Amino acid sequence: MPRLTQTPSVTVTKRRRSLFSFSNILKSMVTVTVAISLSVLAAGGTYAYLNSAQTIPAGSAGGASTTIKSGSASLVITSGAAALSGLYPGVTKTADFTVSASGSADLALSVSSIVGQGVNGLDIKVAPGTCAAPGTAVAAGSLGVTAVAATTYDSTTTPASTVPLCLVVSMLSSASASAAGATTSVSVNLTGVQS
Amino acid sequence: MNKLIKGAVATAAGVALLMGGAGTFAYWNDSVGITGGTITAGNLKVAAPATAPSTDGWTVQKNGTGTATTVSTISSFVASPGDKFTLTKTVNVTATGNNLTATLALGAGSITAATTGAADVALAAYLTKTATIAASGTGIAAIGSTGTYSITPGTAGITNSPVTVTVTITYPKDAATVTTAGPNSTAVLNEKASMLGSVNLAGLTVTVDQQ
Repeated sequence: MPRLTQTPSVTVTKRRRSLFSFSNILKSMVTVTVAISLSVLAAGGTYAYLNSAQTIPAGSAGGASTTIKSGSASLVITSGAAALSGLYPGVTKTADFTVSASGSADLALSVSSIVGQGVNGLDIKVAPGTCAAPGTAVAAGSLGVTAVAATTYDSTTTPASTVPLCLVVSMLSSASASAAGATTSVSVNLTGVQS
Repeated sequence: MNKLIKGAVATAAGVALLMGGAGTFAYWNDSVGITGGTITAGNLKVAAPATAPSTDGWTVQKNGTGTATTVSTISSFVASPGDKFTLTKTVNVTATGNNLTATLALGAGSITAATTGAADVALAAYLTKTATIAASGTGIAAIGSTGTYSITPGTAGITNSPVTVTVTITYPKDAATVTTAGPNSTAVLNEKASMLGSVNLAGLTVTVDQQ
């Protein structure tokens, strides 16, 4: 008996895309929105609020372009090297030196550290003022004096200063015998903090 | 049938369009103009005066206190932390509009680093953080402590009214660190990083905006 077979038929219907399809409408809306936005932006200004701006001529002579510059802070020891010899227990020797502020900020001076302190029985301090008339010597901490910078705006009322300081080196009475004939390198680290 | 419907719709639309061209063809009608007068828009403008008053200029106070010292050439001045700069300038404000209210403020980007150097960037960051504006004049009032001022011209309006603007810039001392952002990195800086820095004030602006 012959087998009856049936091949399923597939009908392909080509649907014509409507001119008013959702995607077409969406595309049109986006295009119109972009076009309007571009034309509004290209025209400049704002369309919602009144506003205005004016450059303030910051230059002293009325010019608009000007600057504010910051300065610097630095300390200079103008006579730092001192050779102290012939020390023996119970003797104190001194050496004058000066410090100035080479930047634009006034600097309050303090002793931050002393290298050589206690070595070979040495007691080292720094005093404000000259060695002829020294103030209170300190091994660390504030010296109570300020180095005034030359370029600060108040230089007319407080001219730049060179601060005299005095290095005070004593050999303690309790120094050991091994200190005899010994050489000790001493350095004083000063700190200047803007006042 | 379908074609018939389409044709009918098209005909109806055409007739309707023709009717919109000139009056109606079926009813009596008339029109009269309403005299409504004019509507005039207001104005909001800030401008530099033709001649700067002698009171304009820079002063500085050391550590922000004491006598204000006049600085004749600000670009020659070398600043240190603690310096408080004050720039006094006069601007003319025009504000008309019965219901107009506006604000006056310092424009964004008024202080910029002179270069991309670290010191310039750090100094700009410090000074920008502290820059404030004050204003006084007719119709001007502070809005709380916001650093912004209101302009209320009222029904009379104000025209070319001189307003004294005071821009205060403080170079902070013992300030907290500031974070600056560069094109490729960010950096946390302290005051020392701003040593020998330079900022440009060419963009210093006063803005007025309707509210």
